[in-house]
Formats: sequence, structure tokens, C-alpha cells
Amino acid sequence: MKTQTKYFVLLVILIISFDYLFGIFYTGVFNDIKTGIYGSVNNSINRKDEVLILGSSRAQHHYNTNLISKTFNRSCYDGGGGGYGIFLNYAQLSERLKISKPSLVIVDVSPNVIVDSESYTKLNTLLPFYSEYKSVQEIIKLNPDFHSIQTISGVYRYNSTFYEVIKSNKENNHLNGYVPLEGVLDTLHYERQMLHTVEMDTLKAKYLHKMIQLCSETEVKLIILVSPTYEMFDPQKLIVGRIESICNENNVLFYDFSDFSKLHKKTQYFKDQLHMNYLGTSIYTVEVCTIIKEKITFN
Amino acid sequence: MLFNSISFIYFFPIVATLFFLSPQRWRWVILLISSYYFYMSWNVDYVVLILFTTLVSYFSAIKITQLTNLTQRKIYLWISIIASLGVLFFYKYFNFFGQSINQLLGFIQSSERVPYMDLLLPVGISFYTFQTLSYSIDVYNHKIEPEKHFGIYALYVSFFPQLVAGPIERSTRLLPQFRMNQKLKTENIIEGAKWIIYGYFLKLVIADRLALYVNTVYNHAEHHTGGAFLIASVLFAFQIFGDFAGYSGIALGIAKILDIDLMVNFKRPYFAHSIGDFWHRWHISLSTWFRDYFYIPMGGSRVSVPRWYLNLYLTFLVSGLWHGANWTFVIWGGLHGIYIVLENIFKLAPAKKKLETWKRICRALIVFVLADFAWIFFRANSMSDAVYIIHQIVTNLSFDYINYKILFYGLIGIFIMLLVDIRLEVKENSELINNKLSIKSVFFFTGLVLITLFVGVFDGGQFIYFQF
Repeated sequence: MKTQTKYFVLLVILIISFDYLFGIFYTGVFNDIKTGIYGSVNNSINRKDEVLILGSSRAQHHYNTNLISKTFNRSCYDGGGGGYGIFLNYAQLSERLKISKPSLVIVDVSPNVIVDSESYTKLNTLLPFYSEYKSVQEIIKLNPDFHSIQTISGVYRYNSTFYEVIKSNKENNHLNGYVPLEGVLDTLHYERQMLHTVEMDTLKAKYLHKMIQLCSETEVKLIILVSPTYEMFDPQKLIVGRIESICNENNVLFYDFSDFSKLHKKTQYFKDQLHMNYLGTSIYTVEVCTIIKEKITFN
Repeated sequence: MLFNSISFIYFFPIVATLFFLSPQRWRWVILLISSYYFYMSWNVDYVVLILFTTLVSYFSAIKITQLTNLTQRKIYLWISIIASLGVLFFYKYFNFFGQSINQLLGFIQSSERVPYMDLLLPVGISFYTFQTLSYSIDVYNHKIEPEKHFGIYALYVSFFPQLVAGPIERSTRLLPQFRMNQKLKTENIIEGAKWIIYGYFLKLVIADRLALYVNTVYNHAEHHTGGAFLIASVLFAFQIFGDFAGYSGIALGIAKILDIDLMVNFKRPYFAHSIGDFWHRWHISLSTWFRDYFYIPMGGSRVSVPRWYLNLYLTFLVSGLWHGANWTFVIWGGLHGIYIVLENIFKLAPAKKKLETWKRICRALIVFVLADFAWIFFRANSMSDAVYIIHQIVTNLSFDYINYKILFYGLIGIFIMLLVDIRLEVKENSELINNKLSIKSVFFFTGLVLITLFVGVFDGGQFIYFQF
């Protein structure tokens, strides 16, 4: 049985060692991911683009980065991530500012994500960044399902990321994070998304404050936008009102395009209630560029 | 508390440490407290039901042995059976039968209605009820002496590794083990660890990954077409196997570390060469329970041929109902009943050894298709869904939903599982499940742990069989 005990000890040692070594080896592979949520985080922090767009899926689909780049002759990256919102945006901004200062940060705030409780549980997806970025450590702990034991394993941190690695190698990243949507809103099968609360999540408000503070301390220009929706209901308007007051209190440029007349209730510009297709995005991006030209002076 | 929860990672090592540090005469206390704590972590109120079933079956068994009059003995047996089945019926089947009766009443235009009760099904009730039933019947049939020690009997009913989803253990096998002097042995740790690692692999890598696809399709049946249903139905066959065999494996491994043997509940069911063979390999503890306490008491095969077929059919029909209070489960059991009766009528189940390899593979595929067809009813949320799904598969085989990510990870798991199963099919007591390690198996299990950590789904939630 002594041999068997040795084999068992060997099993435990091998699991621990391979787990540790794989974690080190895979970090390099993982950091090469250029698309999806991981690519979005990697690029928004490390690419040093001059115009940085942050937000949720609406940010990802609503800003034509190439158009912005051409207009201002500055590199632009869209770091929006579906359903994550303010918490992820805070981590992206905070880590990015440690490396370099963008000329302009555009934060697209989505009222639906502001009240969505799933944006807490989704934070565990950011486990691969846990050891690398302190701000990720900070926000991941906001998830009630997070346990520090999950950070022990080098392999577990990268759980279910391999498919993204393979996919990233095949995908083109020439749109700099912008993911255009095709198709038009189908009014026959249209499901309206109503909010069931008008209360703004206090933690999310706190992190929006922290983002404003970070930009102010580092003298980075910040503009907060609510991009167009096909239609907007009262609870969403109330949440937008609350975001606007936070911006006004802190002297941050704020524009609400949720019922932007050129696009509002025009099916041809939308994929669904909350997301514009690439046609709508082009019109909206031009409008955003006009405002930036008017209001922001680049150094 | 789930085996795949963070709290269990702390729970089991604490229990095992306390268990082996305690003197033998107090170990049942550690296990009983742990088992009740484990059970109460779902819902504290459930404990009243398990305690009631335990008390009634315990005292009935003692009375049965004390009495010599056959009628009186029978009365106490029936008290135990009615009490156990009564609780099961009330919590699991009351609303089901009530709704079915209401439909009939509506059909004959009666205004009377059976009221709907807002009941929460206690976790694992079908499993521990069957365990207490077999105990009472065995005592009545003089197969075992009743357990005098209430604590040890209560532990037999509630032993935490197999409490909520089996294997359904027999008193003859499990009760004596609680009186033995369990030892912390290297070979038990090795064998237990192997079962646990493979069990987690089946649950997290296969079952919970495939569930992401299957649930999306089956829970929104109206939005999908035949192709998606076909994929989901094939994947469900692997999902339910991974889920249930995974749980059974983890349970077996945990008990093994505590030096307690539980029965092997699955033996590569999708390698079965006939439906009869399938039931010798799938949920073995339930199949043998129904054989011993339902099929044989009805006469088994020692009756006229038509009656034998009826016995077979009824056994599967009731087994279907045991799984859940829904007509879909009854149809599932009924389908297997039809398969098995037809197999016997046409003598379609030859001895495994007589079959050539290619014939076995073909037969395994046919059995898989038949079992998978029945799984559609098992998984569908309602009878109308099941009919719609089959209709879509037959008439509209277009693929409206394919999730490559789920398929990619899921197929990795299924491929590894098939390799393991082929190995075990060739050599049953292979180093993959025995109590010895070699250099090869050390690397294999290291790989299995790392794959589970890398591609497993860790927030997949509970095991399917908990609902039964």
C-alpha cells in the first residue's frame, strides 16, 4: 500500500502543479483574445486608443469607431460589453488610466442595465482578470455568488474561455470593438422591454460617481450618453433623469438621445427595442461627432 | 446543499475528519447529525416528514417481529406502507391526480373540483420512501431482523451521500455497515477519489453544459423547430446520464472514503444491446427495487404468459409514475414497458456473449434511439409539448438554433466519457474505477480534474433527480 500512497500523493502534487503551470502558460494565450467580452477588456485597457467608448451591449453596437477615428483623426476603441455596465466600465477605465490617458472617454449608459440585477452575477466572467487587475478584484467581490476559493486554481480562472480563444483567432477585429447589427425590427414579433423598478441601484450610482471622479482627477474628458431606443417608457425615463442629475451635480457633459427624433420609432434603424442596426448607428454616430466637435476641445 | 456547491467543499472534509476522529460507537451520531444538517440545508420543514416516515417504519418493524399473529403483523406492515406512501402521495401526487380528476369532471360537465394544494415537493422523498418500504417488507418477510437502535435506523433512512438521489440502498446491505469499525484506508480514498472525480466530470462537463442547450430548446418549445429538438433530444440522453450517473458516482465515492459501500447505480447504459440489458445498467438500484418489491410479488414470470407481460408492463408504468407526477413520465414508463414486452414476445434479447462486435454496436444504436425517443416524453414540460416536439422532428427538420460553444464543450465531454466507457466495457474492473493507482491512471485523473476545472459549468444548479 505504500506504493499506492505514493501514487495518491503524486496525483495531488500533479493536479496542483499542472494547475499552476497551466495558469501561467494560458495567461499568454488568453491575453491574445481580441474579440468578445475578454477582447473588449484586454483591448480597452492595453491598446492605448485616444477615444475610448465604454458601456454595455448598446455601446458595443451603437458607435461606429472608424467614423469617429476619421472625424477626429484619433484612434478609437469601443470597449462595450453586453450586460455588464457600470461595474465593468469602472474596472476598464481605472486600469486603462494606470497605463495611459485617453483624450476622450464616452460612456454609454443603458437604463436597463442600470437596474438589471444580473449584472452582478455576470461579474464572475471576469475571473481571468482577477489576479492581474486590482479593480477587477474590487468589482468581482460585489457578486454575492463569488467566493475567494474560486481564485485558487490557475485553470478554473480561465473556465470556459477556450472557445473564445479559438473564435478570436478566426474573427476580424478591424472595427475596433464596434459590432454592427444587421436586420430591422420585426414589429410582428416585437417584445417590449419594460422596467419594473424606477429605483437606481445605489452601488451602480456609486461606481458611476467613481468613474466621474477618476476622469476628473486625471483630467480626462468625459461625456456620458444615453443612446437612442426604438421606444422608451416612463420607468426608463426616470432612470435617465437620475443619471442626468448625477452628471449635472458633477459638471459632466450629458446627452440623452433615447428619443432622438431622427431615429425614434423608425423601425428601419433598429434591430430591436434597445439596439440600433448599422444604419441607425451611422446616423447616431454622426450626431455624436457633431456634439463632440462643439463641446470638446482636444489638446 | 448540493454536491456541486461551495458549501459542500467545506462540509464533507469536516464530516470525514470528525467521523474518523470519533470513537466507533459515536460515529453514527456524527453521520446522523451531518445527514440531517445536509437535508435541512434545503428546507428545515422537510425534516418533519423524514422523521415521521422514519418513526413509523421503525416502530412498525419492531411490532412486526414482536407479533406472531399473521393478521396483526400484516396490519403493522400496512401501517408502515400507508404512512410512507401516504406522505409521498400527498406531497408528490395529490395535485397531479386532483388536476386529472378535475379534467374528467370538466369533461362530464360537473362543477365539483378537487382543490389545488400549494405544496413544495420535499427533496429526495421518493428515494427515502422506497428505502423505508423495502426495510418494512424485508422485516415482514423475515429477511432481516429489525434494527433496534433508532439512531442507526434513522441514519439508514437519511445517510447523506445517497439521501436525495440514491442509490436506493437495501437495509440488508447498508445497516450492518453502520455497526462496523470503519477505517481510513488508502485504497478507499483512492477508489472514492476516482468516483468523485469522474462523477464531477460527468455532472459539470457533460450534464450542466448540455443542459444549457437542452433547457433553452425544451423550455421554449414554441420557438424552435425539428432540427433543434433533434439535437436537444440526443443531448438530453447524455445530459441525464451525466447528471444522474455523476451524482451516483460522487455519492459512491463519498461513502467509500467513509469506508461504506454503496451499490453501483449505472453500468454504461448506452452500451446496452437490448432494452432489458438497458435496465440492467440504468438506475440499477431502482430497477432491482421494482423487481424485488413490485414485479416478483405480482408473480413475476412464474405466471401465465399474458399475465407475465402485464406484470412487466405495469412495473415500467409504475416506475414511470415514481419519477414524477406528470403524464409525460407515465408515457415514458409505458413506452419502456411496451419495448420490453415486445422484446420478450419476439425474443429480441440474445445473450451478450453470443453477439459479434458490429452487431452489438448496431443493437446499442437501436437501443439508444428507442431510449432517446422515450426521453422526449421524460424531458418535455407537458404532453402537448412532447407531441409538438415529435411532430416538429418528423415534419420540420430545420435547424433554427445551434449553439457552437455548448456543442464544442459538450462534445469534448461526451468524447472522453465514451473513451472511459469503452475501456470499462472491455475491462470492467479496470484501473479507472478500482482501488489502485498506476502512473497511467494518475495522469488520467489529473487530466480529468484539469478538464473539469477548465470546461465544466460550475453554476449549473441542482441535479435532475432531486425533483423525484
